[in-house]
Amino acid sequence: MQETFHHPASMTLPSSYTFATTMSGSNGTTSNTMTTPWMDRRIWSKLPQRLLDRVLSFLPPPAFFRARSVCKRWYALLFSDSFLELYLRVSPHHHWFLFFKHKSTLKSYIYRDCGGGDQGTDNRRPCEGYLFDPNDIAWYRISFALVPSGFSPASSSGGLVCWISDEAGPKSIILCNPILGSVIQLPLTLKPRLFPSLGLTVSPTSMDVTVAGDDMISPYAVKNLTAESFHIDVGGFYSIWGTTSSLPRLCSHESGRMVYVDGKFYCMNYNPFSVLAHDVAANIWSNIQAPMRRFLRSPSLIESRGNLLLVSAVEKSKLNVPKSLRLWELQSFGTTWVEVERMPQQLYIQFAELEGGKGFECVGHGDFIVITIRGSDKALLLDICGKKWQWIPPCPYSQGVGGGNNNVRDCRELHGFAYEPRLANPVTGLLDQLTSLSFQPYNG
Amino acid sequence: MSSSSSPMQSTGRKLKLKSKDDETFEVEEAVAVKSQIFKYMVEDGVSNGPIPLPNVNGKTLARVLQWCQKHADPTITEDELNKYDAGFIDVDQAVLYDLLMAANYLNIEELLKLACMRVADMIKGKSPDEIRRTFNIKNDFTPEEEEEVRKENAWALGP
Repeated sequence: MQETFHHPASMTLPSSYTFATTMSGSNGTTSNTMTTPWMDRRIWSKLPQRLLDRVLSFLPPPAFFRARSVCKRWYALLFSDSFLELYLRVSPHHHWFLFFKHKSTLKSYIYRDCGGGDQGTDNRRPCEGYLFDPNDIAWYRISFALVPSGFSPASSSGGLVCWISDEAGPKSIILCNPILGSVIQLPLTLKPRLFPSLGLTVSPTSMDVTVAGDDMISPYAVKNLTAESFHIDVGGFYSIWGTTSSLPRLCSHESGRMVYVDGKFYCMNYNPFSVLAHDVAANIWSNIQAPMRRFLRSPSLIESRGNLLLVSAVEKSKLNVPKSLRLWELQSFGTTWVEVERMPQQLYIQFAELEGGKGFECVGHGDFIVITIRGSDKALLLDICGKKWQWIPPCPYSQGVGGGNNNVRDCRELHGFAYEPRLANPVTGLLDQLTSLSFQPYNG
Repeated sequence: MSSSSSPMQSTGRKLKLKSKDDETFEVEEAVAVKSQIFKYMVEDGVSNGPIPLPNVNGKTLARVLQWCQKHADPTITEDELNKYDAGFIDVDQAVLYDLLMAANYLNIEELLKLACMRVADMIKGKSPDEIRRTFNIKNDFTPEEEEEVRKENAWALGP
């Protein structure tokens, strides 16, 4: 199977990869139509209702929502306690993705907007997101109209998408399940911050949020000093930002998103590259050296099948090593990086030509990784299990909105998260109880 | 079908099962306990004489036991198991239906999941009308109501 490399200088590329070039435009035939197998009604009409409900729990959410048109009972399943209880027990994880057409949330971009007085014209909070199914290579458009303006998407976990207020100060955080149209707000964070990094992890029984860095030490100065954490669980334990920690000295994480793996939040630290880790339970930060740290470009962290992966372009100008894009897995209790995958050289040439040094971002979970290229709508999908790389057909919804100004580039660029669509988020019930007890004025 | 041939760390005790069409099977305890029903029987010490299974026919029971055997094998890797499962569930509809019902009756969670996943894949691309025909479900929406529901869930239709 897959070899692991400690000294990849002389590696042979895995020969069992395939990659497809971009599909020729969607000319009326949608990528969502599939030929469905004929099913014999003499057999299937005998299936007991409870087993049919169980089958419905396995449907990917778009199919489930389409099936709500079948009859009144199926329509109501979404509100049925017994169905949801079954769903929470048996439904599989759908490792999908959610993208926004958005001004970049990178610090440098935001500062440019703030300084230039663009605020009024460029106040394009994304009202919609683009849901991507990597199994069937299909796109859907979902609405975020319920999220108020002045917020930007920050993270996603357990079917919830987390939005954070843009305004400097204590931060307002909103959790949204876009396919249910539900929105819930967390109590305000305690310290004033500008553009902190945010980590979110949601399970059926608990939730943890960590907000880190960009402490405002004066109205015009920020420094990465502290982090604060929020916790709630079914056992009755909660911490409303009361858990604080100090960040390692001189860290710089550039409002990055944090990735959760096995009890820790991880984010990239820059100059030189390393990985910051926040042990949630112990509330301690630590620093992990990055592999080949002097030669990385556009590193990203992702979760993959329960492990932390670092994905990055590698540029090694001194030795005669071709540039490449590599994936390392953190192993041995967070002490060793092992290269587990590398972009096939032919594909890398194509990729490098398109990317042209502008940078790229990676998001991923389960078996899938998506690489989006900055300033372009091109994206690559990697099925890490089947070792299959392919270009993703462009999102049919994000085309054609331009305006002939500097922002045309942003319009096509997609920025997103690993997202798992879920029909229910039981932990929000706990939040309801919490927010009804605390009298936080809405920071609108 | 006779007893398993691969050696297992078990007490070596076997369970006797009888399908609804009177076919008998002998199976290692370690394999049989994939089914929660047999697990409880073994734990409670109720295993004298062949256990009658009036809801499962011989052919299906044979397949199920084959699956249990594979999944009880400690030497098999996860990748091999996934490949095996993909091949195992690629069967015609009548067999799939029988496997689904048997896995439910015998309470074999993993097999039930495999079968349900397969059926879900078969129906996920179907229109509501096709689904109604397949499962013989009456459409109790008025045309106006149905249109409302469709609009409400329009995002799920895709481009």
